Amino acid sequence: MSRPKNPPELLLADTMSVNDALKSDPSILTLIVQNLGTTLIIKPVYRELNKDRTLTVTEADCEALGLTLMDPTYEDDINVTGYEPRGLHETDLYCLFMSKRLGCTCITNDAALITACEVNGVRYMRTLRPLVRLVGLGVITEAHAVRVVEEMLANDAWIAPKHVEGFKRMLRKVSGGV
Amino acid sequence: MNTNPSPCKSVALEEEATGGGHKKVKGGGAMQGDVAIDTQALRNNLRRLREAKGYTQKQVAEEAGISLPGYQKVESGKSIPRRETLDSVAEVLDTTIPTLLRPVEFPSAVRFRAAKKLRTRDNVLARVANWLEDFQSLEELLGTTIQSDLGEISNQVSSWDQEIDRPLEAARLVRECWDLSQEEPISNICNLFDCKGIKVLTLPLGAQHNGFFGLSVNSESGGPAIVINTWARIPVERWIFSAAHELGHLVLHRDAFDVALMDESDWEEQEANQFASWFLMPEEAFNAEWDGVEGLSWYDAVLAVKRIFKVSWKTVVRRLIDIGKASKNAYALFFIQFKQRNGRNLPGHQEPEPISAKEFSTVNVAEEPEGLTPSDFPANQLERLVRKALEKGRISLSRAAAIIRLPLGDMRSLVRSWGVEPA
Repeated sequence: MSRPKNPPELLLADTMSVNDALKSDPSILTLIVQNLGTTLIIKPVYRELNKDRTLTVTEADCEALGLTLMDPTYEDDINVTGYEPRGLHETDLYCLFMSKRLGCTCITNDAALITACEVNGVRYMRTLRPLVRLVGLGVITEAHAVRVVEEMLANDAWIAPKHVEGFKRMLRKVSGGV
Repeated sequence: MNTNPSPCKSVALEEEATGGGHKKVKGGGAMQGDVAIDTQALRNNLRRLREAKGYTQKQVAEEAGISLPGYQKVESGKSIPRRETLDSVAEVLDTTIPTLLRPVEFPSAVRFRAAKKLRTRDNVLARVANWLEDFQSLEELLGTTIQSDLGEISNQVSSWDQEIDRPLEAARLVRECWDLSQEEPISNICNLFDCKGIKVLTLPLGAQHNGFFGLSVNSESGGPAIVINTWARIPVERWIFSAAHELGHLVLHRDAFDVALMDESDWEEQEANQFASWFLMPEEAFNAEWDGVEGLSWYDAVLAVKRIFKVSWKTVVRRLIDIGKASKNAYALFFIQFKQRNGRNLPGHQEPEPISAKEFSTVNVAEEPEGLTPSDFPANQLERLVRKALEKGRISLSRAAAIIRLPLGDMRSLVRSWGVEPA
């Protein structure tokens, strides 16, 4: 396994990011855990994942992938409860508040959650960014990363063509291309 | 704080530090560790959601894996459980901890009468409150609030002399104010209400909501809004009529919007029915259409006119009786002719699929010959706002799914069918 170039981060993935990875290539999640940092799946995300009729994920599956399942605290609940129900759902709010409390980088591709992260000073990473990092670290090849994204798109991923274009540009950059 | 917990071990870091005890605080709350919990909201929500599910306290306690006295203490507000215990209770009730902790502000300016025996009345009101909140949030996020003119119309109507035929004249006035001629049928009542700033919520409530067809909310509580019971066994014609009926209440009975009032007023109900009839079938339009089907048999003429105005056959027959074009035997005549045509009785109760005797006895829904389909009542205002908000990246996909009440996977399929991409 390649050594990470950056210090390990604490990552917290939102529902769609985990969903997209699980439906395309779950082993990517393990590579992220091993090379980028501990990756938290918070209980509200875990429950939301299992409400998708096309996906079943158990606690044992999470463990096998190296993911860390985490319960919120009452403090998180109160923060979520007190938030005006505007553009974010409870699960997004848990991602936001727990990322802030634990100092995590939130992995998401949801514009509304990204805006909330920016407003609240929470670090975030677009869903495809970890793949770019893995390519940059030499953990996976560029072709592998592209295959994963194609698989995600085939599975109705919450990713727009413009995000894929951005991803390809970043890939070329980390691979030393033009 | 431990930020590197062992893999896949469910952890609650703060809870370990705070322990399971709590102390009472002022203002109906209690402390769980350093966090203040609104025990009154918790108590009310637990009871409301449990009763809506038809569970006893014992059932919830057993399913959540706690003792009955332990659960009773929580539901009575005497104890705040450890978070993991409350999480188990929330799962049993198919809800979340924030939903249990958040106080529900029931809309007060609501007309919700035909529900005296409704076991889940509070739950319906909570659902309506939630829907209005979602609607308002989306409108604010998108800056698309439409001001309704119903208040002004209602003011005008309330100043009328009592001798005036209020339902008839109010229906005329609403049509005039909304630039609808007195000759045209209403092709899409949901779209019309949408354009005029009236929110429409459809709630497919089942047999336990027998007798509940709709309710309305006036502007003081986030309306004007109309809630229609779109249970599959209620004919779509009845949905449409109920929507017009509730509009009648909003226009004619603005002082009768009080959630605490539960007794039906026969006079008000009659006025709202008359308003709905005149609004959906203006005098001139009805007469013209009836004259136009003179060559058909009486039975076929009723069906033809009902299709034009998207009302039930009974509404057409009632109008014919009211204007002296049919005798009071007309209902019986229609039943007889239905049997002659179809070789079977027109059932007083709909039974498209066998249902239990107990359920059947509570169902009181007439079959509608040549009935409309749900697409004739396209109440999709909220979906349209959700779509716009998603397109602009103002709401998350999870929030969209929660507002429309779809599982996330289904929401994603719907979004794909819209051709909407993440911002």
